[in-house]
Amino acid sequence: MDLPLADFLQIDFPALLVACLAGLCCGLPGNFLVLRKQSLIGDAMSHVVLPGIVVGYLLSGTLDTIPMLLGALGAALISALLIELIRRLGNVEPGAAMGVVFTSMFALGVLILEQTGASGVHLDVEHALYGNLESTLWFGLNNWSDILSTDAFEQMPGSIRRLGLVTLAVFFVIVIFFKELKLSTFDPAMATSLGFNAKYISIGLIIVTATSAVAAFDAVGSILVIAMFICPAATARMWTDRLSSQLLLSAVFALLSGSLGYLVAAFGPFLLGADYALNAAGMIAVIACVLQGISMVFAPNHGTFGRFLKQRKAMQLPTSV
Amino acid sequence: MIAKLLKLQPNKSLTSEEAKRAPLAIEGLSVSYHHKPVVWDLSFVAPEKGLVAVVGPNGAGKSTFIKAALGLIPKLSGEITVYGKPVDQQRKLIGYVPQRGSVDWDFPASALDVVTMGLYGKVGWLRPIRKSHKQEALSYLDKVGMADFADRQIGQLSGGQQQRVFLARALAQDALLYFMDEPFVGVDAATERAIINVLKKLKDQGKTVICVHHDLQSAPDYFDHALILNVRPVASGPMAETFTSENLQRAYGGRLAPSELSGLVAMASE
Repeated sequence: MDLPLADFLQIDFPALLVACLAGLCCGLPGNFLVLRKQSLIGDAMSHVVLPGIVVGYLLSGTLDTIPMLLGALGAALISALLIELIRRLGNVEPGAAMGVVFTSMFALGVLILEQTGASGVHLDVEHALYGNLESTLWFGLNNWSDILSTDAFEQMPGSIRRLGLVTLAVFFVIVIFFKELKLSTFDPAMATSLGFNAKYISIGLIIVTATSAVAAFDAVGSILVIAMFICPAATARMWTDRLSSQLLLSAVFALLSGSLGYLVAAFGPFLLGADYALNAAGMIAVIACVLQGISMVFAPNHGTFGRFLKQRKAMQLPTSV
Repeated sequence: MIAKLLKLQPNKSLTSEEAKRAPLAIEGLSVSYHHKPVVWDLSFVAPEKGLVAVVGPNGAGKSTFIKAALGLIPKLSGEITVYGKPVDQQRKLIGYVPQRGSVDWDFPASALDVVTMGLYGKVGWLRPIRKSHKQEALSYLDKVGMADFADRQIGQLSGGQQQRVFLARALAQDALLYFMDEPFVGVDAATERAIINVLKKLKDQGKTVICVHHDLQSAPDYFDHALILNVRPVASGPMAETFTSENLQRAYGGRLAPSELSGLVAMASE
């Protein structure tokens, strides 16, 4: 298979970049969602944003970030209220209330999409699920050195710029508020009693989650957004008992599944002699899942087999019986 | 209202002057949960340098009382002041030991990490934790005999050790007024001794500890004041005056046998 550098740089490189950035901007806040046992919130957000994005698009007529973000945040807010309302009025447990709200919001988004003719322009249901990773193209890149040129910067696809900015913002928010997030995740009552209002921090985390979901949703679709909120964090948790290491590892796992998943999807079938490519978002999610599976078995303290080996060593039994 | 107050606290009437100095002054606190009253019309003034046991039957609202006093849950009515000012302005003076079961011990943190959290209030928003903070936290772990376990993930500790980590964290808060929610539940003898030592030291330093305590037998030994409640306040004051068979009977209803009662009261008046 012959792959000219320019093709790789214009087609595959931007897709890889989007996959990695989406992984980072969802994977980092995902750590706190998983530790708060709120993994479902990432799931909910990625569904809930659809009607928001569609309405934002319809009202503004553009696919700019700001109207979509506002629409999505509005939808997230309405959903949060609805969940609370159903929980209180119906006395329904939170997980069920969340499930009811986010599936109906997603369905509503699909209906609006189909009815208003917004579909087909850029947004459609397939996009909502798989994203459009493969159609992210970065023209003007012919050589590695072009990446740094102003010309290439101007031609940088909007989704990369958007994701890059959001990822950077998410990264800084997490670094700056690391102490507060750690405390309020571990012991919200203690956090509040110390003057770090856990409720506000929790709302802040949900806003970060919603922003990440919106930024990544358009590029990679809701399946991958859900996978990236949960998998890298859950995988990283298997390998360490320190929160800072967990955050670092989750970033590594997000990058690993993003790049590996894309490469396997794009080039795997070619190498096997087939002349088609697999869906990249789907493959990335599968790789993330495989990494989780491997960790569950082999991680030293938390993996089944890893723990077995460790215990055996501790009991001073010979490894070969 | 006033009459009721006077009846509950025969030795002190709640003057504003006294409430201003008191570590904790509560007037007319009511909290309900789903329209069901959990704490009703509770007034209480905590003594300076006192170890106060909060006792009462299950569902009497002991934990709720503490959480409401800390401003962690919304109250229906009532005035709460800590050293004469609203709780929100006095956070740095307050230390809190929640129930052990209230947190997820699988959390990726070491014993030292958790104790360091006690310093967060002093460190303040956005400022990072430094080496010196970790050193300080280690000294508090040492005070509860847990320095050797500093790097252990908290889930790998025994129940008693976890409780001592919580205690060290409270010490790290360096507060004047402490709230503790059932610190003695499910702990081993070594931890029980460690907790008692810490309580005594806190008292010697002129601090006030308000502690939910479920074990009536040991309450008179460990504490010098009591607040007995059963949704409504039953009695409060120095242990010997408060731990009377009449008060306990009123709080616990028929749940205490007469022989148990007389034994408890004898212990309290010793």
